[in-house]
Amino acid sequence: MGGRHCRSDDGETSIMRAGAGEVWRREDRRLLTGDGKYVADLLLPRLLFISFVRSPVAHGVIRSIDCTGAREAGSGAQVVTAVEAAGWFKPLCAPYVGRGYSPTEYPPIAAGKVRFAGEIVAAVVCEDAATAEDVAERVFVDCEPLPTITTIDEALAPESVSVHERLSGNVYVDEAGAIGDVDGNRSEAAVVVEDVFRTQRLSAAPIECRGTIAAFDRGVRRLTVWTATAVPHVIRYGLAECLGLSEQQVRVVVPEVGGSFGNKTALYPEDVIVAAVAMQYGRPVKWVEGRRENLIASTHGQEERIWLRLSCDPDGRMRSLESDIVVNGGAYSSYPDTPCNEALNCAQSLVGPYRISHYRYRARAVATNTCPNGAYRGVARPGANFAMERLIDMMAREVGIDPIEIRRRNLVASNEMPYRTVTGLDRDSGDYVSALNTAVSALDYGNPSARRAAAGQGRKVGIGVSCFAEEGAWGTPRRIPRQTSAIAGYDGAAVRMDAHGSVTVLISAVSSGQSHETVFAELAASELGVPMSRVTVRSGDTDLTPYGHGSTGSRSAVSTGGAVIVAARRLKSQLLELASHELGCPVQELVSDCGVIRNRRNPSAVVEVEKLARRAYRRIAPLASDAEPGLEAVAYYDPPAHGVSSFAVHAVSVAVDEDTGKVEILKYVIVEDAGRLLDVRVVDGQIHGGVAQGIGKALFEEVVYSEDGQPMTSSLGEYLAPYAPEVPDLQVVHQCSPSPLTIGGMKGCGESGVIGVSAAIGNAIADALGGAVKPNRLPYSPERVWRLVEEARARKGAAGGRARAKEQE
Amino acid sequence: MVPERFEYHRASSVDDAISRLGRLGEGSKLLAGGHSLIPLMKLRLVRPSAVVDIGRLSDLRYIRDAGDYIAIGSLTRHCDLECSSLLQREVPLLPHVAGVVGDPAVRHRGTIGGSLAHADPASDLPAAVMALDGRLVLRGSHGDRIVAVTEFFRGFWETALGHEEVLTEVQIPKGTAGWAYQKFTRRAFDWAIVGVAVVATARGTVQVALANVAPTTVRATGTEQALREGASPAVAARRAVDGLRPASDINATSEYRSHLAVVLTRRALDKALA
Amino acid sequence: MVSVSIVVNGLERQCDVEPRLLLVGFLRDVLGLTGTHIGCETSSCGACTVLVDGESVKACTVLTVQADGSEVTTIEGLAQPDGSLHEIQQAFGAEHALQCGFCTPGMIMAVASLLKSQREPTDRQIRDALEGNLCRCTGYQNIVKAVHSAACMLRGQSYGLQTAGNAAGAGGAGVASGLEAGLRMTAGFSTEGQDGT
Repeated sequence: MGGRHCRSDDGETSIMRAGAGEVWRREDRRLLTGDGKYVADLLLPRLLFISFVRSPVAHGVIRSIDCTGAREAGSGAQVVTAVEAAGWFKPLCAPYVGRGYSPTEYPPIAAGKVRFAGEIVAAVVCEDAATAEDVAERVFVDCEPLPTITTIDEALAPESVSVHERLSGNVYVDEAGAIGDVDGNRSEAAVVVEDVFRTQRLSAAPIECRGTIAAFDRGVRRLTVWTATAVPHVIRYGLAECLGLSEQQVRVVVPEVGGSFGNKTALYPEDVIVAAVAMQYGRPVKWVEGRRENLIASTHGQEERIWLRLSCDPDGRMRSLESDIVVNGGAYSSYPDTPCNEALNCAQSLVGPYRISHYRYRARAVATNTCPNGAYRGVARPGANFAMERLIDMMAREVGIDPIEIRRRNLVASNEMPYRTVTGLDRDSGDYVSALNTAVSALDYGNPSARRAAAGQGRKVGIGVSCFAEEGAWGTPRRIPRQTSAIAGYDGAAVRMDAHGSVTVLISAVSSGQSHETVFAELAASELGVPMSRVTVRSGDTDLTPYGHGSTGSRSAVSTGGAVIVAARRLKSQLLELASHELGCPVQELVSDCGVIRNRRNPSAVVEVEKLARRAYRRIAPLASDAEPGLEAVAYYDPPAHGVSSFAVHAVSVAVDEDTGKVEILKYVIVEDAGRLLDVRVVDGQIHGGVAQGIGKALFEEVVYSEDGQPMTSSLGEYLAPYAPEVPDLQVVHQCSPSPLTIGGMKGCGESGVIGVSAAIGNAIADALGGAVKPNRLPYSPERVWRLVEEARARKGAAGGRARAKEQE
Repeated sequence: MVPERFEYHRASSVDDAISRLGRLGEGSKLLAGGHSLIPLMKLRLVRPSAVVDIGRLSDLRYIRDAGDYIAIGSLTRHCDLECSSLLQREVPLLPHVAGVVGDPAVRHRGTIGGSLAHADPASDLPAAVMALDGRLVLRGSHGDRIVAVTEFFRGFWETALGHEEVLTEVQIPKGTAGWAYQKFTRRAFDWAIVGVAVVATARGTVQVALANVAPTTVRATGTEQALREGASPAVAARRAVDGLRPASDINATSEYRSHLAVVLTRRALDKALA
Repeated sequence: MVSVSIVVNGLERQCDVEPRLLLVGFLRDVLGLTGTHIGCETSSCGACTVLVDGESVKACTVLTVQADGSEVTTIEGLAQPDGSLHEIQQAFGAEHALQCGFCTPGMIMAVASLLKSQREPTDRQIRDALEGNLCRCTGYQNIVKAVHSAACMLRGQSYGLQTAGNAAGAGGAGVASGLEAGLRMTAGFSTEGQDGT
């Protein structure tokens, strides 16, 4: 990849153009030849297979589970219901004790009651996967149906049925707060705008579905679990809890992961059941999820109803912001995030990159008879950004200021940084206004001839922008108020040099496409001053790597990168001590580069790192008398207490077909400031993929339930993730302002691409249709846009009518 | 995810297939390319007790000039239709429509006979064949019968094909003067939310067929009638869904689907009659 | 059980299979060729795309018995016996056209099918040809670049030279292999005699 490369002439390490170092990612060769092994590809001797029987109804009391047909099938299959599994495991219950939160339990196998269509009611255990499927088909669940609620509005209605007896009014969490004088500022403001914004329920839909294999060694009483996850240490903690084991009895191994996007950051009922069956049967057990299961029964994200009220001065300067956020949390509180993650994250992200000193919020998550809420790339931020940036355009229109100009006036200026938002987030570095200007000029904003050319007959063209600061890499201090004890806020790295001078970097994070093997090898090599070819990165084994959070929330470059840097520096100082002894000069005079350590003042005083490594392990003199054997350093890095923010501007032009409502993206520009980029192509790839998912959210994707809670989008033919024809070429521009707050200057940006899309496209649609319409509900399906077109025509007609009436007066 | 177990029979000829279907009874199903049947079997929405595979009957894979019509063997694949110079010359609508079905992998396996016999109203090819006034040759134990495509579709996934019959040939009359297919989808790969096929014949008639606005592929009789009465395309298009009540689904309400049918019919007429 | 004989990556395989065994199951579970992936049930995602008699096919929508007598090429059969990668694989690597890699084998086989009929596809043709292959990581942009690059290599040209200013182009590896590619092109994707397993 476009990596770091050693230059021997001046002894400095510098970034070289792409192609000079390793052109390819480390991961690529095996993935290109079919040699990458994902969970589904793994086999163990005497493997048993599981197929799950899932609830056909959204809400009901289980009257009986008829296994007669299944047992008659004569396959030797075992059917495990909550009765058989009594005592095998504890329910999932997120260790979360935040303000306003009521904990609920998620039984891995439904006992007594089912709360969403797709919930597990039994597991069929069998010698082969196909027969397990056959048998599962013959298990009949008889439920007495209960009234079903699927939407936020239904959950909050006073007469609604309760999803959980323990929840009052179906509310998982209800938290409110206020900073500053909101009412005073609003009453003095020149303009006040408000609206309700709705974002749809989404599925992360990684192309690889979930999958877990578990094996229990009865001799040493240890459980090994191979699973597609981004958070192996969280899985180990949760499994140990549910199964009544100590953490040291559980080893979680992660093979290749075929995409996560948040979908593989939870501990799921299936994982617990697979592990429990392996323990009970004394045989390894495998489950590979089908797409239908993934779409109806893993987790969904980002279904939100957000009310906002924003006030400003006559010059467009913002004065106050108020929010009322409700998240559809689904039937169960997911482990470990809970729907609080979405609701509270939204409340704190809404202020965005703007100067807002007076803010009031209320954030709730409610229970419904739908698949549980969980993380999906961006979590609350795409919704928060959508609501806020749409409202800013509405405010701009109201106050009569250009939407770009109004943003310029409110963005935190670089000379105000570090700027702490009223919600406690640091906007630490960068030039937001210049990024906005760059995006706008790259889009050719306001060029009337280009606009006319793109319009054509029956089409209207509009442009839109959105700005956002993305807090990535939450550290422990950001998590403490929420007391989620299953999640560490830090990540760990161990850097080890062996006797041959080769380096192994062990990291707590797991890549599901983010190129860790390449990026962190480059980083460690550059810190140590050894060629990248000598460095290998390993991850995804809780027995092997240091403890840490894993890969979620735009964190790995910052948190794992930080840990790698610190560990590598520690190892380097060990090497320099050895070299100092060898060369007889002080450590301060030594430089490490290209696998050799030299005295800066005396070019002939040189020693190869390899030679030092041999000495350190073989204890060959000369060694300092107090030198310890081995070469190894471990470090943990906990990201800054008030976060670290990347910043981006999305700018888009679209054409709307007035007859059909179909939206075509004409040009898409992203200006991104993710601080120091470890590998620009990896960052670009993250942004491209994020924007594609953002386009999915803006225009295509939506998880739909029928009124009685039946999932209507249970295949990829119905859940509309975009393909290549639906995604345009994207123009990415980087502004790299290293963060002064993080080790290495990195900022998180893994989720960045997805965040700004809906708002930018929404603003462009509003612009195309004349601004009076309010495209404040996602996705912008053709029908929804067509209805907006009709509404705009009706308004125009009415306005025309009024004007004519006035003339006649 | 696999289908439920079934008996597998490989037919050596059409007649062999017919007699096997007879022997195996109502639970048996014909398998051609499998691109309609196999996904349904995997989802266990369809559970045939036996499958009679006619996929290897290469004598049913042909495109032939038969004088005043083009004869197309029922096992002719979408990719064959797409690339046929004979079709491009004589009935260009058909290769065009074959090229918008699914994706290349689907077009490599899917067959015109399978598409018609499956009778999904959202399918593209049935609409094209209907706009072209095609005829279908159905062979049973008592020989062939020819059915107009307008008589073929009986309901959602239901056709005039008897259990012991095989669709062997599609006959497409020559004489296209103008044509168009308008397919509206959310994503390029998707089934049509609405599809409109228009053929203006050399005889001066205009045939309009609609996909996914009714339980079967249908002709837009209101529009055709209006055109016969001399209405402009824009006016005639407004009658596209006369007498029909398009269904609502997750992609379109009935109202929007009706609106789309009108818009797409107008666009297709504008193009075909230009 | 039905007896089938299928040439997979150049090796003839004779097996008795259940009629319901899907081709993707045959490749993965019977032959252990796990490079062909499963991402859905409905032929929507394209992760299982392989070549059957040279044409792209979704192996999750074909019964093994239907492929009897056919030649099947999977991702494992694409590289040369000496391990040197096919131009499409090279281009995907050089253009960072993969992240998690799960869709990649299917995507590459779909591209292989495309480049047999289209020597110099446009952006639009590439995107249209991949209309049934989902990638959730890359946003497709680098995949499209990689297809152009592979097409250039297969035509014996250097993609990097053709698109001046593309700093992230094929680089050294692409240029060198481009020269060989011209010679290999006539061989197409024939994999006779290879042991793909």
